Amino acid sequence: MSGNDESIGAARARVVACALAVAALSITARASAQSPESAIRFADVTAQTGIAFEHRDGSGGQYYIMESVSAGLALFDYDRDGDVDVYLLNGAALQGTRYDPPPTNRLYRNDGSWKFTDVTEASGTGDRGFGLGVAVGDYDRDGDLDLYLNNYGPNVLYRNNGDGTFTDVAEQAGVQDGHYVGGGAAFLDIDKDGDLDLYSVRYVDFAYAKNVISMIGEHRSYAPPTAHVYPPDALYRNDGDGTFTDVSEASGISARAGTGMGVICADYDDDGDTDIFVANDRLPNFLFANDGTGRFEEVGLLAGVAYDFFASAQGSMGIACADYDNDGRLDFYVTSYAKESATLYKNLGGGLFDDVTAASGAGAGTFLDPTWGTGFVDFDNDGDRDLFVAVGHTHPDVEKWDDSMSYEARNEVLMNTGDGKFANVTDQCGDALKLERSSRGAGFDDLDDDGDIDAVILNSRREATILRNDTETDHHWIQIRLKAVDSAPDGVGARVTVQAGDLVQIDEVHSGSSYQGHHGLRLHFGLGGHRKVDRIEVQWLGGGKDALRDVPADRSITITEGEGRAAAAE
Amino acid sequence: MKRGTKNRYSIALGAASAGALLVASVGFAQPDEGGAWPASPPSGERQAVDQLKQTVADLLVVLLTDFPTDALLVGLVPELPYLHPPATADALLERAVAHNPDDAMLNRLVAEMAFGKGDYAKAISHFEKTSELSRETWEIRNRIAESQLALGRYQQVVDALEARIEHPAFPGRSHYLLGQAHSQLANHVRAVECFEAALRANPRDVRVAYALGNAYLRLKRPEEARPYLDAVRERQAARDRGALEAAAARVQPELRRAAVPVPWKLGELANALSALCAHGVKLYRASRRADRAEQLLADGQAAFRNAIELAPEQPGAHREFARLYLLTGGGPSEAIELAERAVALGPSAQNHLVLGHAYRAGGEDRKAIAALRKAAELEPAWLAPKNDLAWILATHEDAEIRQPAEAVRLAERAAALTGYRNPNVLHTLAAAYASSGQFASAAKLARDALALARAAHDDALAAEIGEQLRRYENDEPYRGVE
Repeated sequence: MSGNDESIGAARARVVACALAVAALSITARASAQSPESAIRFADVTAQTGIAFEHRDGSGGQYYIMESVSAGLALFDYDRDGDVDVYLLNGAALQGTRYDPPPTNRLYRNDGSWKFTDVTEASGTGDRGFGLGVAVGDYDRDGDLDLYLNNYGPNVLYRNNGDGTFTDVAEQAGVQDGHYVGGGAAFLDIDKDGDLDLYSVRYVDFAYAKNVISMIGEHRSYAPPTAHVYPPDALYRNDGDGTFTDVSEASGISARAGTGMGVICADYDDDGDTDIFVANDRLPNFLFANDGTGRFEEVGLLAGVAYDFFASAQGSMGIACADYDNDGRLDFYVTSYAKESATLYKNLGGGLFDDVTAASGAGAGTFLDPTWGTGFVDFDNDGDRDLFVAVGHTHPDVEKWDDSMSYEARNEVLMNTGDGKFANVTDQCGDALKLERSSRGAGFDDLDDDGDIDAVILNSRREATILRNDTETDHHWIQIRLKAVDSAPDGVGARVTVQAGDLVQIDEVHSGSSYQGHHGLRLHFGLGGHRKVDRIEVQWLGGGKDALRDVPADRSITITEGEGRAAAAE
Repeated sequence: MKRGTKNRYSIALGAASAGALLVASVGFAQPDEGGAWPASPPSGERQAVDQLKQTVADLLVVLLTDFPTDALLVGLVPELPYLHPPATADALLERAVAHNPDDAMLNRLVAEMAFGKGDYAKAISHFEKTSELSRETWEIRNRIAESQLALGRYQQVVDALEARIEHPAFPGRSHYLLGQAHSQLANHVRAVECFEAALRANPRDVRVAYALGNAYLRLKRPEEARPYLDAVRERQAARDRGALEAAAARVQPELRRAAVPVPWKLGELANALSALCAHGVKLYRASRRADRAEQLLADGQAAFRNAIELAPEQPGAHREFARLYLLTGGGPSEAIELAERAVALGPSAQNHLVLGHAYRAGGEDRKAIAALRKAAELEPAWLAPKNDLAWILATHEDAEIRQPAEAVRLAERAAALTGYRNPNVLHTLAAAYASSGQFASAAKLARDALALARAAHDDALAAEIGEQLRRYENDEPYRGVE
């Protein structure tokens, strides 16, 4: 009677209301207890590679937002010796922290047989800025691959000198891009003039004096990006003379401001030009549709990729783009923050997408912790693309207030079951996938040229992880490099169709993907039981088309623009 | 305490549900211009809050382990998510539902926890159990539908909801979920119908507008889609602008100094501890485990002493420590000292009420009456001090203290506040009528109170009222204390 007039019943009803309010409406399915059998296996070969990278996030108890989101990585052949090298971004000391020696980005040359040599100093690629995103492309058309680093602070454009060294020409090129906390970056040919333009994502506009943090109970933590000022992204047009012009406004890009992280440039609407998908953190994603001349209209809402199934703007992080169901259209997979699953947007054609995460099972195992780097990769060469998802929380102390999550978690592998669905097969992938880290960037390529795709993962505050694909199957494969003549270098933006019997697959060459990283200039197609490819067709971004017929499987080939015009005309 | 008084002054354990208020807040903070973080609350208070929270959390676990089917403890299970981190709370909740499989509320909570973790199959199972155990509601049906959508079971959603769509109470939310299922099954015409119905019910629901716009796009009717998608974009843009303005505002120096409050209030935690501890002592004593009861009491007292040492200026810990003494039959002199200190630190109605109870326990009835009068004066709409004061004024054996007319006035006001539906208050009013010689009215009200007490399954109160009723029927007033 006395003391407190509120009845237990009333209190309970109120608590239930609270519980309902906090229960996030999100589409996902947990990892199935009965996953189908998978052959996909990985081995952690980090120790034998000589890659001794250690990531530093600059943290010193002040909870600056960039600490939690660093960094991406790039897999690319910097010395054009035919194998894929590894470039890992690092954080840097922030106000209140000091490192001795200071952390730097590191470039590791692939010497074959899983041996890598640290060539950072020799190559001059050891930028000491606070690294977040990276893109790779031959912007000066001199035949070698250059690097663009999207930092907190001035960005860096490492021009490849062709002799194993690089020079930072960002200032001269006009692409330092102010003093933002950057996100991903990508080279693309916006106007099909044959040179690579540059998209630079800006996450937030940060200054130490403006820092805000979250208070979760009594715990200090990182504030969401929407608590900061967030600017529009930048688009730079390549002027062909080593410099770029900021066309953010003229192109329509600056019409929208977001909290961009991952970016991928792909022709989602099959109209022959390159469009831009930007994953925004806690804001609607952007899909900039190219009108073919380098002017863009943001159509994410109309296309159905701005929000998830329940119209929620997710904390989107990384992006993968491929045709997962072999229906001839490019789909998007977007990783996301904690307690919301990664989302699979299926391309329906006509510029429309459906969130098919639930029906496809593509969210299995991705719900609890934040997810980052990702790729559509055919790990078992069976002719459809599986998924790899890097996992890890942003808050190092998350367990103090939520013991269902942890800063370090295992990464996830989802096998494509060939019927438009995915099954989480992480448990079957071997001990390498039991490793728990707070992963961020992830890249995928065939590091040992054995015909299957390996993985490199950048882990916040820790060493990187190098995973060798040990999947044993009798499946076949083919890898295709493109050598452009008139089109954008390395065929960036080109569409490749591979037909082997009744198996028809497409892919596109992208510069910039996953979580603020880059991989996959060499396209990889699993062929299942097919020993040869009946037809390979390349639709170059400039409009030309080449084709090859009857190509034996299990090899890596290069197609030069123009060499298959006759076959293409047949 | 004399006969009858115990029930009048038992402090309801509903107080322990204050834990529901203790939802950890999330806010933003900024350093000041010198780089220092906002002034933190006094460290002693923060420590006291932390320790009380931990004690309450631990105590609830211990008691739930030893008395897993105790109705009051089970009733406090919903507090677990606020007292424990999620995984721990989840495990405790699982245990509670295992012991009480037919408790609808527990099943609902397990379902919500599972939904929040993305375990939709489990959520469906417990939502369905909830539905079986309680009156099935549209809300539960919708939660099941949401879970099925999340599992891609679209046809099941269609089957379940289409079967009920003619029901006059079919809610807008159900239309929306049904539309989503149809949309995923590529029944876009039907999806549009459902979304339009949902939008009629909730015209500003941005999710419905988004879904309707998308459904029109899939029907290749972009002109019809555009207004809905424009509305979504407009509202999103407004939100973005708001976020930008808020972010900009945060750099203004005057706003920087907004201190982050202690997210858990000490007084509420102390209240929860006194109530839980007292209930636990009662349970152990009733189960003849006196050693556990004494240990629990000692632990509770130690926690209060510690809290008072850490935050000596906070009245809540003093008040609730006093309450613990009163609830467990402890020394009234300690209770009086603590309650007097609480009133000195914060002269609130709540503190005066406990002080009144302490004086009463110590036999200082005139002081008790003064304290209760003060409590009633400070919070005129609060039932407790009115009712307790009326009881003393109606039943005191000392004619100089007894004030039947005032007792009737106070009790009538209390009864009016509760719409004559509270058995405790009617019990007091009956005593007041009897004290003023109105035995017929007293007997009638006592019968009403008895019926209400029985309906509430409050056997102890019913027995007490029944005993008083016999007095009133014999034209005899109740005299409880001297």
